[in-house]
Amino acid sequence: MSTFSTRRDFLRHVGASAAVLPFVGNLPSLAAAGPVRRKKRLVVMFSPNGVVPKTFWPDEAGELTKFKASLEPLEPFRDRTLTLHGVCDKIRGDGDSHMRGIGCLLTGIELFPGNIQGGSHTPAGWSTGHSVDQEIKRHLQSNPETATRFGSLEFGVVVPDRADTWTRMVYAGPNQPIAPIDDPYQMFAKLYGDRRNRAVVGSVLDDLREDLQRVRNAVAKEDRDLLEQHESFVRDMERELAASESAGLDHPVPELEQGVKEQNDNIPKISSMQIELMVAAFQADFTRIATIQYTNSVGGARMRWLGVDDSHHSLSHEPDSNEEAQEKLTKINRWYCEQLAHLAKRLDETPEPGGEGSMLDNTQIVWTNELGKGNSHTLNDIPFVLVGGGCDFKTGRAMKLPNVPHNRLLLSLAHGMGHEGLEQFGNPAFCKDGPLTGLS
Amino acid sequence: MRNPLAQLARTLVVAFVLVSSASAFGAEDDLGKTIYLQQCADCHGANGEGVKDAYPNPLAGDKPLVELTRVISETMPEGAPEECVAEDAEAVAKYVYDTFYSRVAQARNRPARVAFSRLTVRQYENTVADLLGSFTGSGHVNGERGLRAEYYDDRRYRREKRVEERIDATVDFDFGEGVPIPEKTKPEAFAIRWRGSVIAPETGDYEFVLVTENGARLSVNGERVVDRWVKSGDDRVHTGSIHLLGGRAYPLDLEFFTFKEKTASIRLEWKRPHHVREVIPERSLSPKGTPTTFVLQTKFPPDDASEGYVRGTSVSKEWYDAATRAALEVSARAAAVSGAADGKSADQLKQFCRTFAERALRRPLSDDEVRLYVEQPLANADDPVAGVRRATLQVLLSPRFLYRSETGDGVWDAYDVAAWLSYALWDSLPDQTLRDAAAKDEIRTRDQIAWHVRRMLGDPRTKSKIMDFSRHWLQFHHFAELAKDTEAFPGFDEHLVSDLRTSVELTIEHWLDSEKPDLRELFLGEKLWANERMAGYYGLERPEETSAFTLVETESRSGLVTHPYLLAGFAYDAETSPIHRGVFVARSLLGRRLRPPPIAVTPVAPDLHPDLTTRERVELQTSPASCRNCHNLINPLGFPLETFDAVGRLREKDGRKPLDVAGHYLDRTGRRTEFEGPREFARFLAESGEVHEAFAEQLFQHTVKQPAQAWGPGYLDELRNGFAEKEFDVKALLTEIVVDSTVRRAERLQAEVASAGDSDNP
Repeated sequence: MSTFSTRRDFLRHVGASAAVLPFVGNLPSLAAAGPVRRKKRLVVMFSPNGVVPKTFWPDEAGELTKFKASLEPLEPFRDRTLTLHGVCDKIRGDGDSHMRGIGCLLTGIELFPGNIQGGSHTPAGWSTGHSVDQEIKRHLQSNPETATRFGSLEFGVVVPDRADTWTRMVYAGPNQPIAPIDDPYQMFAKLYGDRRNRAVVGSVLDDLREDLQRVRNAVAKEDRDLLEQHESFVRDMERELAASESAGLDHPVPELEQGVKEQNDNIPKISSMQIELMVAAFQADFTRIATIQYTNSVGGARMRWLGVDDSHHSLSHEPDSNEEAQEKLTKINRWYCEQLAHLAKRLDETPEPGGEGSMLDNTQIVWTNELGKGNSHTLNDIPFVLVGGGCDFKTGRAMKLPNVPHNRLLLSLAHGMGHEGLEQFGNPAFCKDGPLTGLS
Repeated sequence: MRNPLAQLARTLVVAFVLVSSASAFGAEDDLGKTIYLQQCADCHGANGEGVKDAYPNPLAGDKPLVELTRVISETMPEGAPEECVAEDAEAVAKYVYDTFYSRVAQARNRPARVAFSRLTVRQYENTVADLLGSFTGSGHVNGERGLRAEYYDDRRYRREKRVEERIDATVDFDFGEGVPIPEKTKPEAFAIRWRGSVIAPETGDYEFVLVTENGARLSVNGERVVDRWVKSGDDRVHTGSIHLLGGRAYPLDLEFFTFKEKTASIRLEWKRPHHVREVIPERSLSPKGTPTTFVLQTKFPPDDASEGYVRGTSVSKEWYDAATRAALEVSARAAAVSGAADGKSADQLKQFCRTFAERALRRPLSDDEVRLYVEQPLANADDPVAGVRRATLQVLLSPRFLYRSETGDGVWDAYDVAAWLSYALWDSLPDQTLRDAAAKDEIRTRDQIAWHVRRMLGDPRTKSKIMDFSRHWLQFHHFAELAKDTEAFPGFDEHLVSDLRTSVELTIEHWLDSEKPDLRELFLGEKLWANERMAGYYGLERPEETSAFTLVETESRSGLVTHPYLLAGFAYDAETSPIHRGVFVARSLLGRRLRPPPIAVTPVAPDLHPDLTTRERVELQTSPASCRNCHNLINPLGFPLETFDAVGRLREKDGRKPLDVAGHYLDRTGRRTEFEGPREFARFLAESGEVHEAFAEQLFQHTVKQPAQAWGPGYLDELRNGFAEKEFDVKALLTEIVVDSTVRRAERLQAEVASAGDSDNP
């Protein structure tokens, strides 16, 4: 499902369409020349079904000295990491924990009553509010200095092809879920479609001119007028193409392996393709906000490449006493953590364009989940692992917080991203104490 | 000094100026010619062609003679206007006007010819739809109507829970707290799925609407148009829109379920172009599935229609940019259709690109062309997908694709014939049957061509093109904002206007569906298609118990000129307008050429003359001699329709006075006919040779997109006579137009090529 009412709207939005955008022009970067304030970026990464607390959370608050198994891949970025234990999703109302878990995760507000029902609880619909990434996007887009071509990009990795409360995390507004783009080729077309179109048109113009000449010579004199005008349009287009070429598109375009199908076993490939596209989009300053959603709430990926054939969701229901299942779940979360570490690495090795340090220094990655723990379906102790320096939080630490509503963390992220005027977000009842204290 | 009042009268009068079709040369012309050569030719050229460095533009335009006279008298010769005034100015103006200035003179000096043309927008859209459809499959619906429905005793579509299958005429159900099938379904959870096709009557944006408090989603043409699977909050109305090409059927899939909800209901509506929101009627639904159709999203600028019909004889930068965007859009879809991303072999892709090029360019490729359109682009691209894009783009941007080679001069072969036929009848490229016939050179003789034309008449695309023509002929574009004074005509709302339009469309559709649609029937039919609302408003008796459209008897109507849609459309908000009705009859039906008045004229307000009827008011306003030229023709063609008021209802009186519905017509040969009231008037029109000829000419232009005069000065007479011999069977006329235009063009081009050959080799 998309929130676009027509295919035309959709095409206009994805920017892939030659159909709607002016053919030449619409050059990617809106950034003006001159001194620019430090760019700040936010990435929210989602994986489903809760974690295994004993292999996930550091035992003690304070300096991070060593990670447990689930977080081990982050070892190279230990000093850039902040773990937040004790942040709780307090939103109640309609919908089961998985539905509220993802639907209220970034929105901090209740779901509408509806007709979608899982195993328990009452049926529910979409969120009654927008998500914090979109709130920050609006803030950034309202200022020409921080506005970007897209404002935000929503990535997905093998998200099921159905629109329901479990498959949507990002909301543009009440009842307006945004579908993540889980096809890397579609994302590529969104980012680079225009440029590729210009290239392919450019590639046929030489032969087209010859073609035109031959046809012109074959028609009567009175009729040549039309074709001569046509030829002048072709010449104009050549000039425009040359101009757009020299208008400078100096950031690299990622090379994607072709023909990767959206299916379970391709999750690792698609994950790294999406990460490449995200890093490239940041480099070109196409956006400063990105989300990446692995599967969906209740996601049932089968990580055969780890030797885990079971569905992730089924495993997550196994009791703590099932050691084998807990081990597999740890492996699964560890794999997600590897993706996080890979993203951090790619950002870390990319110098900040036009700025200082690396892109990771200016990017806040937040890894989160719809549940605290799979077999209890608790919305307490939602995993929040923060990596990078976008929000200037003090890193290299594990924090234990006293059962705080997650709305307060959403406020902290907004403030960290420069949206300091935001006093409450989502359900105001959970915002009374303002942003979390002690993060920076 | 000029008389300021006379001046005022000259500029304020209603001035429909009749363009004279013949010019009488006399003494006045000799005087005019002498003056012209003495005083004007130095700057304007001996034949008004213009003189470089003096006045380079040709003397041609569309000012009326009176205006031309004024300009000459007041401003010419430049610097010494007093040297040519009064009778001298009139004489030279008439000479200039008749000899090269007027449109008639222009046409005489530059006789009509077949103009090299590009695809029109409609032709482009249909061409790319059918081009891609030739690879992905196409299909038509049959006569069956409604949608195929499956009912489930569950919220999911589980086969073992399917409790009923049937055809539903429309989707408009309110189950309340109950269930669709009492013994077989339970209110807590049930699901229904409707499938089939929806038929789009006109090209445009269609808004689809689901009204339900439950979960539902709708796909049209393979696209999810409305998704309300997730109920969230209390909204009941869910909309989405999609662009569709007219005259085609599109697959439709509507899924519905209810789960633990108090009530259930579902209604499937649409808002099609120029109509209000309504439940999609049974006649627009088919239980038969169809393949999806490629519908171009790129918008083109509108085509030139300055000659009264849409044609592709001009290009602009906007058009070229749109053509480039469209080519990119089509080539992306072509690459997807080719299977290039799915590991198709190089040979298979080559074959695909070659077939694509041959179908798109409407002829087989030479070896050079295979290299240009297939081999080079595939070889020079980075990967197979890019290769197919490049190859198809090279074709789609080629003048051989964008322009119609069969409209150019030169040798005409069987492929030109095939394309000529398919664009004339379908506005699209040749189908497999035509391609095969062209390849075997079996589309040359009159009989062979006629066989194809008869076959092609049955295709829905032909009907769509004729429907398109009918809207044009009846000037539907006039009725876009049709609304009336709500105090004078309560109840004449947008719903009724939509019904009226539907009623005309049904009249024409059913007429076209008959074996031999006789043009006269459109003037003589005394029944009206009406639904409940229309019948109520117009006081018609409907025996049926249905709210849908049925044919009903009327008291004094006769065909389309008395249809309330046209009568209301050619009228003011609260009053009738015999002038608007008369101009429509004169121009569209009788084919008389009228120019618009040079200035806008406000009709005399009824309150100024409360004791006058509309007829009397119109006569008063158009009484000056300068108005009579045109209004002698126009007014009496509008008066017989005074039987109907401004919304097209029958009336007994106009205000307090009895109606005067007498009218008359002086035809181009000077013969006068009188008629009284709508039925006599309609009978006159049905039998008028001018009506038959105007219809034939407009149908010719709409079909062939070239001036009929290009087929010779006597061609229209021939068409009209043939039409009469066939008892005004419009299908026979269409056949005649297409077959004849093809055969004669082939003969002429052959003769020209032969004579050119002679002159080269004396």
